[in-house]
Amino acid sequence: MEKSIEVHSLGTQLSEIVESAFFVFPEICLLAFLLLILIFDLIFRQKLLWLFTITALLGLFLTTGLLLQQWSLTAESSEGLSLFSRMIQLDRLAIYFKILICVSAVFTVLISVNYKSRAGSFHLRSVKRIGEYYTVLFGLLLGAMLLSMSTHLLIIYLAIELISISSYILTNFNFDERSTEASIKYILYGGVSSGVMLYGMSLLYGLTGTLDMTHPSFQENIAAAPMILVLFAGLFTLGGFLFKISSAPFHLWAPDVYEGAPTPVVALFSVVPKAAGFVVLMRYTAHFFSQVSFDFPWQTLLAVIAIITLLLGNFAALWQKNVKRMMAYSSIAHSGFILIGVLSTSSFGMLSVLFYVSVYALMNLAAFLIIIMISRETGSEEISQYRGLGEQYPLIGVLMLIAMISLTGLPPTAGFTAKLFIFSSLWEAYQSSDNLMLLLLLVFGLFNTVVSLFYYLKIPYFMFFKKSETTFVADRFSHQRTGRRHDKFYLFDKILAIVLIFPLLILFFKSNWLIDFIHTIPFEF
Amino acid sequence: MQHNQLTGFGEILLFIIGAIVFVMIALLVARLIRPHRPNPEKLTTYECGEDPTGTAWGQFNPRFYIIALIFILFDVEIVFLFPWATVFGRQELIAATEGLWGWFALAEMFIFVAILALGLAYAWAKGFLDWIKPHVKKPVYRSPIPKALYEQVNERNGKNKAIDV
Amino acid sequence: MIPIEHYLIVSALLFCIGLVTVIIKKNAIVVLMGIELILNAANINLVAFSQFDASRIQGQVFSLFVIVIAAAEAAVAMAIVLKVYHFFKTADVSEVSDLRK
Repeated sequence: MEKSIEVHSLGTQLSEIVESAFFVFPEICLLAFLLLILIFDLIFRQKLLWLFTITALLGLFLTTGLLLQQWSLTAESSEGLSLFSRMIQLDRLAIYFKILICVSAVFTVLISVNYKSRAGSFHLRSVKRIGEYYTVLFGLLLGAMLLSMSTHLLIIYLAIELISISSYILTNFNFDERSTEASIKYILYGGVSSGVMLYGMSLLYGLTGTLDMTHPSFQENIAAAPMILVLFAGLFTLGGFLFKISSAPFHLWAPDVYEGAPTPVVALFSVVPKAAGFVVLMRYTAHFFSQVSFDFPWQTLLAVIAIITLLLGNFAALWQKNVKRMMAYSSIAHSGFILIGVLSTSSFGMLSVLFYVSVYALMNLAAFLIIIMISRETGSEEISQYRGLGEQYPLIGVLMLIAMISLTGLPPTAGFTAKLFIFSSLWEAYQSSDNLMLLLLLVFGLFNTVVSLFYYLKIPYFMFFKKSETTFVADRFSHQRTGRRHDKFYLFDKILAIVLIFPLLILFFKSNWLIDFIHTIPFEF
Repeated sequence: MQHNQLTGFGEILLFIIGAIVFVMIALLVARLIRPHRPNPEKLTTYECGEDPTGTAWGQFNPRFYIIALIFILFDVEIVFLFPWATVFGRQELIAATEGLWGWFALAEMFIFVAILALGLAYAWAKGFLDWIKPHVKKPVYRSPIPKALYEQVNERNGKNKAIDV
Repeated sequence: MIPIEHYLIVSALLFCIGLVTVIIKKNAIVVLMGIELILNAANINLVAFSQFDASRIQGQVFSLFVIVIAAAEAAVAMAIVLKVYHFFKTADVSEVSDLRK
């Protein structure tokens, strides 16, 4: 008798899966292009290298188009669709992040076109591994897109591992000592943290009897279970998410990976996995922490994590001599800021998180693009080599200045608006909860913004106020027959940098353009 | 009820005991009936008929690793294939879903295996399966200077500075 | 039937052994073994708990995926360890420290 019911529901389940498949067209498209690039790599070997870049861009544009179509489709349904028997949740929040991920990926591909590693082993115009590069990159994107939709622990784990394993491979794409060292550290830290997360998930499964976070029995059983167990399970699981957003105490991998990995890949790492990590963190906060009925001060806990992350990131960044390493600590600090928005758990907090992540993606991609351009010029990523570059190349200097001001969070850039939103959402949360820790967090956040001023503005300071060592420049150009000094920046890169920087100014004056867009996303709080 | 019937674990224990006893009997019988005439050749470690050289802890050629990696690809595939195979052909499931089940399961597994096969094809086409034999090439060098001249130079410079051709 | 506590004790022990291995060992391969232990601890939990999830066998399916992902991760990790050995002539993580200078 029981069997017949099971068999009967099977038919509806199958038809549901088939129906659900129509809603994951963007992911299917991405997967198809991943396989297509792999097949191209088999057919064309090392010829027609431009074809790979074109195909990758085409795939990303097509995916973005499908996502925009999804965006307009979900206009009426407010709480989104549960697909594949509640495995993934397709709502506007997920679609927004997926669009952000795809756009960042487009810029990453454009950035990596002209990138050349120090030893010249990674250069997309001549590299024989271009097909592999795009394949693994698409794998990472697929994981990130899945992660932003997932509310089911199995899918979360699969997506996080898909992102992680692709990241480990991409880190090694310079094929030199430094990037190998970076990737071994990354995979060891990553393996441990995902293992711990998995153990936490298995405990959550035991406590609740379901892997689906949106399931009513998940929340009921969490509330009924003994506190100490829930705490263990919840914190272990949280560790895996904190690793992905490189927040303390799981930030240790970031500096080494950022320094050793190829710069375009670093630009991608600082945006895509982080954005996806924040979505899942937001969902986890909504479904797990907010449901914990007993008196556990989870908001205080997240506030403490945010404070430690801010302090560690900002103060370590002060002493860095390598630009990429400095950017690593800066991205840790930014995670702290975004975490503030997450723990506010109001719809305004969510709005500020989305705004911050979008602006952060723009300014980080811009900063890394300029770092790539300058390192091609000087052959170095040390801050001391930035002397006098602002005078020689005013355009680059000004663009870098704007990016750094925006990262600091000063007007007239969108970075300021983003920080303003974050802090006002925190103030709102403090007023509604009267939690002193939140006030402390506010003070620390403002204090850290001031601290970050010193290391961000160090770069424009070196570019404009320090005299360049002329011998160095003369030496570099002496082999050129013309003897005439002309900048070696590609026009393409310059245009790309302007395209990335310009919205930072626009969004300061017209921030409601993006806000109105975000406002159409229904939040669960 | 509990005491006169074996549980599932009891059966496993019986199997373990049975396996051990069988091996022991075989070894014992072999020992009783075989002649005992050892020589150094017989007493060496068996290594697939090759002469054993070095210790077992020596380093392996890293090429083994690539083969092992591709092996993992298909080894782990079984984990998914096996549960799939137990439900794929069930008549009642196919009948209950009007044949949809069969096509669905078949298509799913075809996609899965096709992607894996693409991975294998990739490794093959990129030449990771080729076992490059160490190509010992004797350096051939035809000197325009006759050999006798070298010998003259060698004699003049003394033997310890001899130029080797 | 074996009570659930027995599984949990074994898995907790495995988890702790794995974590300690990861923390105190310096050889990259041994650290990877520790990670495998942690993953298997979680697997035992998942399979043990799935007996309470009578209608569906989510836990067992999860553990199958974990096995596959662990294999994939180990494959990538071994490739990277091989690279490390190629460059640094050691698999000792504490001696691999060119960065941060």
